Amino acid sequence: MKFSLRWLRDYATLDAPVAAIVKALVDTGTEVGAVELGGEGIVVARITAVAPVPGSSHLQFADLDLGGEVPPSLAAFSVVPGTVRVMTGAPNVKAGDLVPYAPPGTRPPAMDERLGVRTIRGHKSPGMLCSAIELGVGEDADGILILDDGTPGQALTEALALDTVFDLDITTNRPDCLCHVGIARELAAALGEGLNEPPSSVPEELLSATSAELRAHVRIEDPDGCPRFATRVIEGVVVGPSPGWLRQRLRSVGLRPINNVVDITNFVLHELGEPLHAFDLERFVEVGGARIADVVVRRAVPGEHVVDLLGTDRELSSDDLVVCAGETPASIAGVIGGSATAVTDATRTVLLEAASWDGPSIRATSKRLGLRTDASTLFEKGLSDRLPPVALNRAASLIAELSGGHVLGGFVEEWPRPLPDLGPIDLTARFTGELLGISIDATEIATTLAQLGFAVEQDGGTLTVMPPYFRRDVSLPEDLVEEVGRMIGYSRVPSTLPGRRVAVTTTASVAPVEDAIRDVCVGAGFDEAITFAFVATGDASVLPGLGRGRTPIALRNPLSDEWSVMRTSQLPRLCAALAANVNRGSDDVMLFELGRAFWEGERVGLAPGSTPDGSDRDLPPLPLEPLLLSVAVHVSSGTPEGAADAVRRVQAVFERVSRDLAGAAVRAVPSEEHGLHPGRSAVLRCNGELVGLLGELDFETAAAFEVRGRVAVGELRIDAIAPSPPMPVRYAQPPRFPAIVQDLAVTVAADRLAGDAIDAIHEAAESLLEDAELYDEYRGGSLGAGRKGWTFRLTFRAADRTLTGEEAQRAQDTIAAALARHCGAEIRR
Amino acid sequence: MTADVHRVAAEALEAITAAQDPAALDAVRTRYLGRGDGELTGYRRGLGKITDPDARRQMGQMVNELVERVTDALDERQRTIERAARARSIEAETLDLTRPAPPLRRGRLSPVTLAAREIRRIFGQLGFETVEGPEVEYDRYNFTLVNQPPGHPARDSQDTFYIDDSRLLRTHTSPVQIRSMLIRGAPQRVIVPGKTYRRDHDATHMPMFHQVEALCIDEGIAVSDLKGTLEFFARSFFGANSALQWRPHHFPFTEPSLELELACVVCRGSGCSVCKYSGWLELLGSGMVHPQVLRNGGVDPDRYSGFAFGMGIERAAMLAWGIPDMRLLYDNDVRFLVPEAASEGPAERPAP
Repeated sequence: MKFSLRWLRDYATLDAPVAAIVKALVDTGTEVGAVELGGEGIVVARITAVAPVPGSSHLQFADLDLGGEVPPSLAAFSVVPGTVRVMTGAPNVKAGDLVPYAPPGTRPPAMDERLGVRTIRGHKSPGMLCSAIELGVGEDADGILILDDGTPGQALTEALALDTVFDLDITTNRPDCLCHVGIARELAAALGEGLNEPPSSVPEELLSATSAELRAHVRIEDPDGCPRFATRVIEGVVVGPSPGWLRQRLRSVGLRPINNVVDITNFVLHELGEPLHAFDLERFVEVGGARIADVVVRRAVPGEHVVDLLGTDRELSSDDLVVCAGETPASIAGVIGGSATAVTDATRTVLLEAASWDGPSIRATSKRLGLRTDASTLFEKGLSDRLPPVALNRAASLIAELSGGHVLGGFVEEWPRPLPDLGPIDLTARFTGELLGISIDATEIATTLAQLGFAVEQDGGTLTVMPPYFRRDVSLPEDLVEEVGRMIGYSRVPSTLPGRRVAVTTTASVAPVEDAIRDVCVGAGFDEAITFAFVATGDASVLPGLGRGRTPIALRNPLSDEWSVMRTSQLPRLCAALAANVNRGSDDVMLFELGRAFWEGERVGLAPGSTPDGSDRDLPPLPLEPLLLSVAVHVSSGTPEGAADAVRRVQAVFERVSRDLAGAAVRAVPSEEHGLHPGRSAVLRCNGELVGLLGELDFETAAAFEVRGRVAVGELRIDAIAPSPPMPVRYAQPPRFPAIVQDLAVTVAADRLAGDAIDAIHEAAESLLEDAELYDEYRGGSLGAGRKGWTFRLTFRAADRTLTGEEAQRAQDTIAAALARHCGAEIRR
Repeated sequence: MTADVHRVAAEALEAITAAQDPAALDAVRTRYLGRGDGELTGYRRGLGKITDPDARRQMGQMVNELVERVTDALDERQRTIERAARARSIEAETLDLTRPAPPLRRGRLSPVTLAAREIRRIFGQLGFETVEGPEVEYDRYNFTLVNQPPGHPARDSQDTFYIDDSRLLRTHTSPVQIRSMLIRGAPQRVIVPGKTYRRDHDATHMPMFHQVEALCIDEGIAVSDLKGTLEFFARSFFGANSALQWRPHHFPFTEPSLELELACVVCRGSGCSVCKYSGWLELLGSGMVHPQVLRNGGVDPDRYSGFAFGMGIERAAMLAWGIPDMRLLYDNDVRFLVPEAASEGPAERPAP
């Protein structure tokens, strides 16, 4: 929001340099977005000569002395040596005059755009000479501003006091700062100055003896939407242009002057922060059809319309608040007025409205209509209900004063729902000091708060504080401490570390587990990907991953169809990321992602930390958020062997992770999975539970992700394998006696599974078997079709003695027999 | 016989000289010195047939001497051959170490992960425990219980992904404050990293991003503790000489509220387009936990006070490592993940 320094100075001295003013704002919590130093780059020039422009009755050339040599950028426009030639349409300049010259690239304060080089009648003219209105220093638009003193080349800001405009970002809790008096109050307090507030009552000489109640009546039908609705009536108004000072004030904050009545409502909005609306009372009576202005405030009936001030026909909904003339909606409350009751040049009597509106209702209407006005922006924030009469008096006085009218006696209003007072608040110096971490005495606190408009009573170290009506954001001692903190400055607060009262953490947290998994993946050569957790509805049908059969969660307001449901598996987006890398030319890309999927209807019980009163039970349960490790490996060579290696690598990562976290390997069970190569896919089980899957993408799926070559993928449910609390570990003494390592070679039918054989070995083995590894598998040769050979490397060891060869052989014979029994194995000698 | 012995020994010495490789030398050794039946050692068997003890002793001595000579010659020849073989293999096995080593394949973590780890580590030093919360959250926890009741501007559905009337994707990690208070009570110190979601997508906003939140509750916690803790964090993360400044601000869930700013990492405070010519960059929002928020978490605000802060992890990573565009963090381009050593970095933080 824009603030004019010159306007702010109506209420406080503020003669500090602009930089000091900016610092005072920033230090007390008002963000300064931009500072427009008025007229930067504009200089004083002396006209050395004027000459008529051939073929024009009013244009003339002016040669300018800019003090010193002509700058290179303007050299092309020099006709008489040492001067720059510009064109002007103003009749009032002559040789010898001192004038403001705005070169190309500068922007006169009251103009919207930077100047360039104009071509008029075939002549190029750089920048322009400025009038008072263009500089924002006066109302005279007819002629160039002739300066009384100054030297050629001098910055105009030195020769002339130009306005400075601040663009401020006001935090949402401070609607009282969305106006010049509010910011002036902040600055006065920060800089230790007094504040001159504008008069809040109507002077006697502008008042009429007639009561306004003879001309208007107010009825509120929806007190929740409109807790207060107040009006004043001004008679004998002559609508016309506003005086110069008012027009200038409005221009300085980017508003266009219209007429004195409308301009005053806009002025008071920017002065006091209360939006006002001016109706033409006679037109209002005409629309309402009653003898006097019959103001009714209510919600709109669907199908009702208002033609607004911009001439747009607005259809209303039952959520919108309207101000009606009798039964007819006359304006959209808090957002925009209607054209049928608007002030015109013929208006003689003004019905001036100032009301309190329910912020959320105004915001909803403004959003639905796609219409944000200064009024709606303010009302959304929730304004004090004590403000309307103050603003009404100020505006009514100004209208009467500037338009020759008089203000009828009294307010016509209803105030069914006064807001409760937010005070008094008890505050001690001790509490203030303890919360800030400093020592501060009560007198300093009292002084600080009083500067901001708080009424403070001090009794020793205890203060009783009454917030001013415009500070609806302050209701707690903590709120007052914030006021004190920001005004005295946080640089006064030392930096300390909290006392060590909290025991060192004992509860397990997820993060170390995640760190361990990431370390395994990175060590195995995988790069980390982070993909968006929302996916397209169709993604799961291409590659369901672990989300097979799960119900996804749909977003009610997604950004796009591509991101419309929460993922039930990370694999589709991970494969897409893999494909993107391949298409960027990276080879053999290996990606992993560790993140959550979302399964509706899977969570058992409440989420941790749910409120103890059980109120969450009434809400639909939150979805389960399983933690998934998903990996995808690209095989640039595209060979079956390369792809097999890649699947094995995925398997190796999962087995490592599983052993590290759960102390147990995952078991692969061959399974045909949608999207995966039927002969090269398996689900993974841990303690009987399905915890993962892995395999190679089938050709259709790889093609769907537009990836050349082959791709191995896998997905593992970390939350299902990682015990909580994490598994304890311990270290053991290395074996003290030697092992006997023997090979056992067998042949089996080609469709036998290694996993079954290893299970059989472990089941048959006695405690002497330390390890059984299938280290070779071969086909062909003398085996013939339908058979394959396996060589197991068996490690036998006894913990308490050196094993004899006979013992190891006996154990191996038992194993061989079990293999023959369970797998139809023939022993090869 | 003496002459024969000498002849055989001379032959052996000749054969030794002629042998060019270990196999040939082995053959010579076997032929002349083989146990029992070697051509030279065989003479030892014949010694028994010499009846004269003196002659037998002389002969024995001579044979032994010759065997010793031949053995020495063999050993010497073997060393020579081995030396030659080693010399040949050294020549053949030359390794050109000027050729760069094959790349050691190691994966790379996302800068988001690296930053989150570092943040957790720093707060861990101060006794903050890492906790997490659900990403699909109740409206009540995300908004109402952290002082953003229905109708509050921050709840605008423009900015929030809703699932239904009561559930949404959390817009910040703050609801975990409530959950952590309900679980742990007071006192506590927790650090909460996690994914957050807002309905916003442009060059500087991602609809999914990461935040980190900290909560410290105890008796007597003051703004000074907030300042000290977060300055310790900022200087640990961005470098010991980082210039910092505090500014009052407003957040619904803290009172008082403060924002921490870091001197612009690009211009070092002199003003540039990155910091919009202010010289400072917003780093994090913080404040003393609002008494109503404490109450909502079941903590008695008359006994305990606390501070909290929240920060975008992407922003911290971008500032620390000079990442020019937030979108790079979500492109998943493996080439981006490999950091370069910067001769002069924007911040003092070493590369991950």
